[in-house]
Amino acid sequence: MSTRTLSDAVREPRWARVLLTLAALGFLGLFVGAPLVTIFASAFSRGAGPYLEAIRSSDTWAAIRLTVLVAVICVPVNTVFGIAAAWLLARYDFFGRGLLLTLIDLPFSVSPVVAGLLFVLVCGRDGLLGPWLSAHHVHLLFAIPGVVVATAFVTFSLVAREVLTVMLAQGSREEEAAFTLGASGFQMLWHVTLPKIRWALVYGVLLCNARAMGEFGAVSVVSGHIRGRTETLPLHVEILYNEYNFVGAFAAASLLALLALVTLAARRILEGTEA
Amino acid sequence: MSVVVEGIDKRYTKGDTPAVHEAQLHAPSGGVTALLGPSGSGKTTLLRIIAGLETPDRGRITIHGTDVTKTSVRDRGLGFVFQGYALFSHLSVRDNIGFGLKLKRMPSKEVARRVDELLELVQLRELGHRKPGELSGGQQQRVAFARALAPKPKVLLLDEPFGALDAKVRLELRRWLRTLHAQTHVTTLLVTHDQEEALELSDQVVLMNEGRIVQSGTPYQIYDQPVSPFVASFIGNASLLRGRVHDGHAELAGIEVNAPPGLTKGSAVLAYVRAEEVTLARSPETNVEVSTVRRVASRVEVEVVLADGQHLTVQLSRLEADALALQTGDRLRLDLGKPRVFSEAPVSR
Repeated sequence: MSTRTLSDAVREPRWARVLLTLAALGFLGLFVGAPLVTIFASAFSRGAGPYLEAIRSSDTWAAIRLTVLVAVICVPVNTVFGIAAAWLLARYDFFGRGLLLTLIDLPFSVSPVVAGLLFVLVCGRDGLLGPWLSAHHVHLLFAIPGVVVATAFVTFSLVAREVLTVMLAQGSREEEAAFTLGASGFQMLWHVTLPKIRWALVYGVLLCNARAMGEFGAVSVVSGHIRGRTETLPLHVEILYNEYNFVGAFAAASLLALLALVTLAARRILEGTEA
Repeated sequence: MSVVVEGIDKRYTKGDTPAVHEAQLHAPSGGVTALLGPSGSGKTTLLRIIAGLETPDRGRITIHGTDVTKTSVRDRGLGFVFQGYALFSHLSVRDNIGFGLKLKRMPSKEVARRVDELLELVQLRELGHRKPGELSGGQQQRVAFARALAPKPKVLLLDEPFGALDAKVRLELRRWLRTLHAQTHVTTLLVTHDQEEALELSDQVVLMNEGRIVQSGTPYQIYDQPVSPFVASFIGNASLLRGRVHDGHAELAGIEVNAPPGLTKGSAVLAYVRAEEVTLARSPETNVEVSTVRRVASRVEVEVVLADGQHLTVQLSRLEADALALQTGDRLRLDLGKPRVFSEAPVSR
């Protein structure tokens, strides 16, 4: 017998079940389904031609390229960092472990706009690092490096979180066993640790990628909104919308929505293979 | 390939009581040495230090004459069997067993041959392609043995190898381990909290309590000549009786037993009386009264009360109990045999 579903003996009456199901589906349709449909409907409101044209416009194309670039840098960096941090937190007991465990959630719990402002305050002209940065001709703010750093900050705990949970649950016995069989640190990582965390890792990477491409708040503060240069796709959507270019705005938005759908589908498939 | 442990100290947190204190032992080549003790006695910590999975604060580990204290786990050439098996769940049984061999860059044909050999040894020939999750607990533990033995380790370390198994499988695997050791003769250190396991499997028992080694010796020595009240109470099923010294012997509720030498008249003594070593008989001169009779399958446990109100457990076979026709309230004659008597004044553990 399945332990996931309740047996008839302890189930709610039929009318209650129907009511709850309808409420849940209705809510989902209103708040998730309807907006999703609207995005694609608006994007294609004048047909496929104007849609493709909107996407091919030079500014939108630049925004797509920047968005991909940011993800291509942030995702690998945060993946490597995430595995390292999760490993450290799961396997070692050291002074300050509790603090690090709390701090790792900070980028995720603080409002992205605040995170962006932090960067402006620290790296701006009058900030802590500002004079040093400008003396060394490093331009972080209102430039692509700033967008990358802000995105990396906001997405930094996604992989670490996913992997840490699995590592803590699995314990370190298998890794110790690998050591007693003569494995080096790298061999242990490659043959034992990574295969054991692979699904959590893939899921974390997917989430990290989705967030890196979709981040608005932090990037909006540090980018300076320079059209065609420091605008990522989410920022570009806002600008087009404010300019009453609805087809353009919704066409760009449809790309982000598509990314979200692909991420969810990939997650679904992964959960299937895992089980 | 003997293992020598000298003056090992280990403290997990500063200021805490040590997990292992001044551990000293010599596990002879080709023999089985059991580290026995209650939970928290430091036996697993000591085994992990010998393996190199923990670093001692002080002391020296020597394997086959080589000081390995500073050698890393991977270079000590030991086989380790973990309590929860710790099999690689994403690899097949064959790949688990071959793991250590592949790391040693053994050609794959030889790996396959050695894995076959080990599957044969642990009697799992048919199950090589399965994943560990598809095996029973006992089978998984045998895979763990095969994996540890595959690289031909100098020493085999077993951490509560049967701890997670049910009683019947435990007993089967214990017998199996005896034959396995007879075939391989690899020097073995076994951590267990189960005294029967230790007394049956080992040539030498090292008994630990609160981080210290309290006695080492052959199973018979440990059983027959416990050096302290702790050992006497830990090994076997013993009742504690209190008494006093009178004229060169000790008296427990009017029953005379040998006293430890050098005690003055009137000093208090503790006597550990094994339930299986005392006898009850019908006699005109009685000294105990039966308070309860518990029948547990083939044996009978009888609770008796002595003249001064102290309680004692006696274990009889069903035949013996039936011959006596035991009833609650019966008055009988008790013979204490040779109990282990210690001075009550705390000398040392």
